[in-house]
Amino acid sequence: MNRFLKSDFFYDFLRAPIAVASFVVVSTLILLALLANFIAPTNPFDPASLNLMNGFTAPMEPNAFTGEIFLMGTDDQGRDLFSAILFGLRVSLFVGLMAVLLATVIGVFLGLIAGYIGGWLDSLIMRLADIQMTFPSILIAMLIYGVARGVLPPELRDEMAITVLILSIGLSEWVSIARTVRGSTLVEKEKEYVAAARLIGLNHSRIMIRHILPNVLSPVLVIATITLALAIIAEATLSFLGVGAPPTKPSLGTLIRVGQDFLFSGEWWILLFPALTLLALALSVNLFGDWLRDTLNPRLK
Amino acid sequence: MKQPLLNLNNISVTFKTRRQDFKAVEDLSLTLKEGEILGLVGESGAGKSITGAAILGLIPSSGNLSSGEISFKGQRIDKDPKIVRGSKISMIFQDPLVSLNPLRRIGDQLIETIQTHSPCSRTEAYDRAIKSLEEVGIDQNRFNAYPHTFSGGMRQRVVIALALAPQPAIIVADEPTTSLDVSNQAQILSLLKKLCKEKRTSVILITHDMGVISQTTDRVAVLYSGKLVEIGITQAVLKNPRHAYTQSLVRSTPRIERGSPKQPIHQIPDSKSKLCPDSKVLIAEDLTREFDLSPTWFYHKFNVHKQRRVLAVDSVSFSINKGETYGLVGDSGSGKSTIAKMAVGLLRPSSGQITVNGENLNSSTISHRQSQRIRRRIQMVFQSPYASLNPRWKIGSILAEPIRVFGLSSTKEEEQNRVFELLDQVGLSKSDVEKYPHEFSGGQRQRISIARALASKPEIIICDEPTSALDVSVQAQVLTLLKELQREFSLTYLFITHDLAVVSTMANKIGVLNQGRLIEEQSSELLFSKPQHEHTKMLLDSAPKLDIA
Repeated sequence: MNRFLKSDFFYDFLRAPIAVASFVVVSTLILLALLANFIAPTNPFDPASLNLMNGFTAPMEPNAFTGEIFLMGTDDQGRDLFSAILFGLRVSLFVGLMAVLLATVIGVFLGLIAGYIGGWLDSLIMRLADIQMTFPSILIAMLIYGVARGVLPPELRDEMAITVLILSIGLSEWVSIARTVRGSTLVEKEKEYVAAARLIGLNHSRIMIRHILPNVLSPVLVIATITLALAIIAEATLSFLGVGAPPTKPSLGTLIRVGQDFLFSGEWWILLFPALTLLALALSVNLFGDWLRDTLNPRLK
Repeated sequence: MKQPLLNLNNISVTFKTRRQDFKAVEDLSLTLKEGEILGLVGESGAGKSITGAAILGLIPSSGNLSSGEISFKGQRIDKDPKIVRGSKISMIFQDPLVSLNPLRRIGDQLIETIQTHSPCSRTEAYDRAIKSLEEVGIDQNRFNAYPHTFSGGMRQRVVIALALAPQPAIIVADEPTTSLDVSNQAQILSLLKKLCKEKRTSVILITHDMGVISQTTDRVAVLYSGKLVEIGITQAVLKNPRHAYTQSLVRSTPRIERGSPKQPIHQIPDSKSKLCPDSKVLIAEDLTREFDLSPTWFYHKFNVHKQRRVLAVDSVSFSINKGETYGLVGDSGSGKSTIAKMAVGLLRPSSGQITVNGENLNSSTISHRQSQRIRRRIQMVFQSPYASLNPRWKIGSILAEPIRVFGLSSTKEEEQNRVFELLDQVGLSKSDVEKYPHEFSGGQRQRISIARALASKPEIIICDEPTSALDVSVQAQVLTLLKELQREFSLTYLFITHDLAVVSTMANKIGVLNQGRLIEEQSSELLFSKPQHEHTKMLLDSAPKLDIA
């Protein structure tokens, strides 16, 4: 840890206001999401706790019937928006992180194999990636989502919704990671330390995992961060379109979809607060990813 | 007294870094007379290139000229270098492969340069461009060719033509021949010298090579960690170096040793080698390797293009006696490294074979156990001290890996002791096991690389240009280390290099490669005193020598 605090990386970080700011925003949001149980005044996932009389309460104004006050107001069901956003943030972040993890594992694995082994396997994997690149990733996600919904029995659909979301986003974002890993692998495998490892008779899988993998991971870190922003937005988009997180377990995208019905009828807060949260999250993850890319790439300095 | 053409007065160049300001050049004063060739010599990091960049106002943005002044014909230019840059002072860069715009014809690049610096019509500029190409020995019908159609040496000629086209008073040449092989280097240097004498152009020649300095320059300035340690007439400085650093620089520059018989190593008392003093440990027979240049498997599977094949190594046969050093020399692309790769089993020969103690590592029927037994005996030291060590691994793990893979130690403690022993043998300390490769200098990394090769207690070590990326003083240390280790462990070396001076100090027997063929094979003494083949003579003549006579 002490070594990290003294490193050039940390030094550069402290001198980049945008990086510090976006890091603070991201970590605050993550912390809020993790501690949602303790912070949130109500449990938005529990339909029994909702009071329909509380519906459409404006932020910081006492409700006309019950007199209750809500920080960010309530939606049409009388659900406290602040609590819903905290729990929605948790869903969005969870889906985003797991999807990126899935995409990274698939991307690193396929990229490493394609780059190291080469030949027809390389052509096969990369043409597959090319084909996938010709479709917008949201379309791929919807396709996977649609198939999964068709296969699953109806009673499981809401329960499995989150898993299906992770699968569909993860499977649609691996391409960029695989390409980067393949590129770096092609460079690394020609280096002499790999030749030295072959000289002592190491087998290929050990060379790939122990020697090459650690050296191709730093660009992956950058892409994974930027993909995280993409995955969060993809999740919000899917939920907004009504094919993502169900209204009983709303994510930020679900909340925005609910809110947009009421945008022109005066209840602006139902849309505004979830949208602002999503904006802050996606923007700061993206800015942090950009800074990471610039810092880890000495050529851009 | 006549005013000097260029005057650097106490200049310092400072780079701001995180921990402290770093002075790359410190209180340096130099003068350059008209028509003079001044050499700037020193090891990497001595501040040579930064001095050159400072003259043209091209210091990288993280640094600045913190004190002192630079004047050209009495006029200060450090505040506004643009008035002289290009027109009065021009520059030749190190790498001819990247200093030309690959998308534009060389003629257009010349015309553009001429028109930028002197207003003239296009036809007039065209005539001058043709003339300047002729001066550097490039045929005028290549005028409309693109840079990629030229070889490295020819590109550097074009770069010289570009630098000379605006008729500058001074040329700053930053390692102009470092990326070329010796025969090209000699041609480029004599061309530069001839043109500058004809046109009375002054040259500041930046190099790390004392041989180049000795053959080209009138005066030499020696830099050491940003400071000028010695300046004077080249011959005088080389003959009578006054500063200790210059002395060590002159001493460590390898010279081609003619007719000085080396002690054959196997005469040193050693029980094993006494039994069979002339046993051949590495034998190459009709070794041939072809490369298929057709684009991808798809194309050559379906024969879309006619297959293009290149013979990288063409029926090469040689053998190495135990305890001896066999030198392989040749220009770049002559197949030296391909032979090395085949010797250690990284590449299979297309035909012929190379055997270690009679066993063939490339045979298709060999079992894993057998091949491991051969691999343990033949190891390799690589060229690049930067790419040959895994940057994410600690030195301890790098050295322990071969010990573990070959099963040479039974306990963790034994392994650890062996690592310490290896570090000790190459002159590094025990505490280095916890460090990462980037914490070491190039020379130290090469020592680590040697230690790794020694880890499996091999009999043969292939050295592929082990010192070509190092400064001369470090090079001398690494070569000495290699010789000491050879004596201690009666090692056999296959020493691959393009540097004739280095090979003359190392090898007992030398093979000269040209375009994949072994054109001459002689004992070291005979080769340098009586070269047989024309190409060998040419290589010998073009090698830069340190003439102190």
